[in-house]
Amino acid sequence: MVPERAWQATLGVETRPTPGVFVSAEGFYKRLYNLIVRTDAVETVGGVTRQQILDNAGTGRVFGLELLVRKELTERFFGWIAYTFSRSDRIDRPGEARRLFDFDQTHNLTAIASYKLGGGWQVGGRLRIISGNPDTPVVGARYLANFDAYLPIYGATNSLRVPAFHQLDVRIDKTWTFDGWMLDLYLDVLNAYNHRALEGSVYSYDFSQHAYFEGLPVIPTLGLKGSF
Amino acid sequence: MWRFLSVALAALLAACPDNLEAQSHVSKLRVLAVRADPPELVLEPDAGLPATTLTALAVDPSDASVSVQFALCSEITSTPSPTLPCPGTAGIELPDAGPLSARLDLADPRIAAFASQVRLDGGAFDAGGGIADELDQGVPLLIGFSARAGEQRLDGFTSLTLRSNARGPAGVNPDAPDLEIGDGGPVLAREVLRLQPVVTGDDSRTYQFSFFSTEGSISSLRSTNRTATGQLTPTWVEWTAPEVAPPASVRFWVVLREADAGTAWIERSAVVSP
Repeated sequence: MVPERAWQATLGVETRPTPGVFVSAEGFYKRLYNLIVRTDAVETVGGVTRQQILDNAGTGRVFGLELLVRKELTERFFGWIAYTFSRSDRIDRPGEARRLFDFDQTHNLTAIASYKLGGGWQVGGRLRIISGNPDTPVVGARYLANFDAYLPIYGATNSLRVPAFHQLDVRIDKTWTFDGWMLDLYLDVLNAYNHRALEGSVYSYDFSQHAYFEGLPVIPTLGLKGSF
Repeated sequence: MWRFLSVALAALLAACPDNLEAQSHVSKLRVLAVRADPPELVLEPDAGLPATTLTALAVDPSDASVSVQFALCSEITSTPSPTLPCPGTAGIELPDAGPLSARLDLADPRIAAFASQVRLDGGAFDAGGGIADELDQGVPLLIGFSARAGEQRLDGFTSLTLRSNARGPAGVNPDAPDLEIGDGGPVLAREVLRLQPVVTGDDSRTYQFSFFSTEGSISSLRSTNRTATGQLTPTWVEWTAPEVAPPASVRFWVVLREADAGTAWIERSAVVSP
């Protein structure tokens, strides 16, 4: 086998429409060659015929657009919004249909903001909305009596998606400044509205029932930090 | 330290679905095992072509009539493609030997033709090309089956070995085990009891047990009489009776599988009182 290869092109613009505001947009395209994929082919080396298992027949592409709007730190407010549209797909063998890459995230939106209220108080938050990961459905199963186990029948590769991930994290800080050091009391709340993200598929023993692993619930953290 | 605690906390808080049915719970048409008797086909030079009877432990808790169709698949493998149409276009249907049984007889002209095509027939198994060596090692024959009960259908595969007599005569299936349910007394709702399989045969052999019930929950689908290092180990599992006494008896099955492909099973039942 040979190393996997890729070339990538990007084109972007950026501007400051008003003081303290930064806007950028960047398009990208990436072409992938010689991707290592499984094969049923056999090869003869030194007179010995064996299964090849892997070869370089795979190709792929990634393309998309990144947008960023950033409000730079002034006296009180800092924040930015970033959105990426991207598409990543693969062709495992010549002539086969294009399929989504296992970790394709078509939409990825992140917004971050922080505001100084005065008197040592500061509030901030982060919102993330991301496409769910591609998923390959199981459309049936066969019972293997010798092993007392079931053999799944898979549908089209990555033809489904796990529901989208979204989460809001919030943080409140109160800072006291002393001679030579600072004390920070903070409340950090991960997953503030307690949305249990669906992380991945799990099936019953015979693949007739389907459910998702659930992610973390709301996690509040109260902390104290001294800086010297 | 804090990173470790954070990861441990995250692992504890992330939730696994708990509403998926356990394999040990029988709530619909199921095939719990397939037994071939004898468990392998052995070609003896001076004897006729071997045959075996296949029987499925096919159950349906609704007591609907269950039937099973078997076929010899045209693929020589013990790891089939799950979409192989067998029974169907990739299988030779086997004649019934009962509602849950079929007969695989290498003397069947259709099977003899297939065996000849893949050079596995008794008359040609020493015809060169290494087939004799393969038969000394054992060739897996793939059997497809399809169980039906009313509108329900369940498809599956089993395999058995076709071999020469280089390793001796055909093995035999173990005797059916017995199953002790607690101390044999009345069973109360929510009671936790041991399910203890009892084997009457040679206890130097290694067995794997699978446990099933129509109600309640079983602590472990499987147990074995020996550890990986050969030490004897307890074979019982725990069964928790249902919260509410069911109107009908609870049915139990324990399937015994032996390392050399022998299979046996037994069914028991118990009445749960409030």
